[in-house]
Amino acid sequence: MDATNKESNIIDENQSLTVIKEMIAVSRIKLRQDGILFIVWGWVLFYVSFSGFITRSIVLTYQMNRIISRLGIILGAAAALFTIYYLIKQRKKVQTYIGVSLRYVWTSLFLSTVLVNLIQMNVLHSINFELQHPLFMVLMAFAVTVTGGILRHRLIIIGGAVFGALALTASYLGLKEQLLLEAVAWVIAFIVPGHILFAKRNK
Amino acid sequence: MFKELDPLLHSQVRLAIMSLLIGVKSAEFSWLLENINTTKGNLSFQIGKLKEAGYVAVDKSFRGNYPLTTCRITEKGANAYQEYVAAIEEYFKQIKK
Repeated sequence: MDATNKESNIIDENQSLTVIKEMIAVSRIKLRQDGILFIVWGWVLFYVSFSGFITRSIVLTYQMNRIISRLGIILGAAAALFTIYYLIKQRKKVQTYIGVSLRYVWTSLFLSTVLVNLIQMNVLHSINFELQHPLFMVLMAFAVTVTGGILRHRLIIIGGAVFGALALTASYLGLKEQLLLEAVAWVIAFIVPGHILFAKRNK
Repeated sequence: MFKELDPLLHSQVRLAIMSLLIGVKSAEFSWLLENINTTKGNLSFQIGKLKEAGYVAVDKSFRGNYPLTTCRITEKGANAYQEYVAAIEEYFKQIKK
């Protein structure tokens, strides 16, 4: 659309409709989520959960266990740094209601996980990991479902629901199996939708 | 009988500005310029007209050493835009008849 004239540039009804449609299409394409944070965090958390399951299933050397757990910490730190870098780099020239809503959802999820640990400490005077994992999974299920609703992405909503169901299932199992279920949940709720969003980003 | 279209919105650039702003919380001047193929001067002029009518609010600030102009649609602007779109829809319905 070219309009360089400072005059009011009156248009007819058909042109009005074209302008409205064009601008709505521009907004849709430019403001589409690219799923990168879903992919990054999905793979990191999958690694953490799955490696936790592996180290509890197979007898490994002390060194090997140490390397696997340290790698998880390094990947987590790298993902956190990447998230900060990504959010600064992506600081969009436009603020959307979707962006604002998602920020509230994920910030409150982070604060809720801290509160869950504090409440556990107050009630049980220790962290019970068999309780902590299903509770975290429920919180994650809530955040993922709400995110899917905000983005109107059915697969993310389904991922959130599956996360919730796996959280309930995990509560019947021991920590080792919980970690395996959690790894499956990261794939369903984060990795798959993330890659789909990424593939669709410029279409 | 066709509803009268708001003359302020019945212009290519102003309608484009409003169509972009209606779906977002706020947008920088440079983002509007990227998406509406017009000149800086014209965009600024048309935003001024919308501001005068109370359809958009313009905030001027600084990012680092650079001036930053941010626009957002006002309630009055959103209502006017909705009415404009409804009038256009009505026009096309009547044409089809």
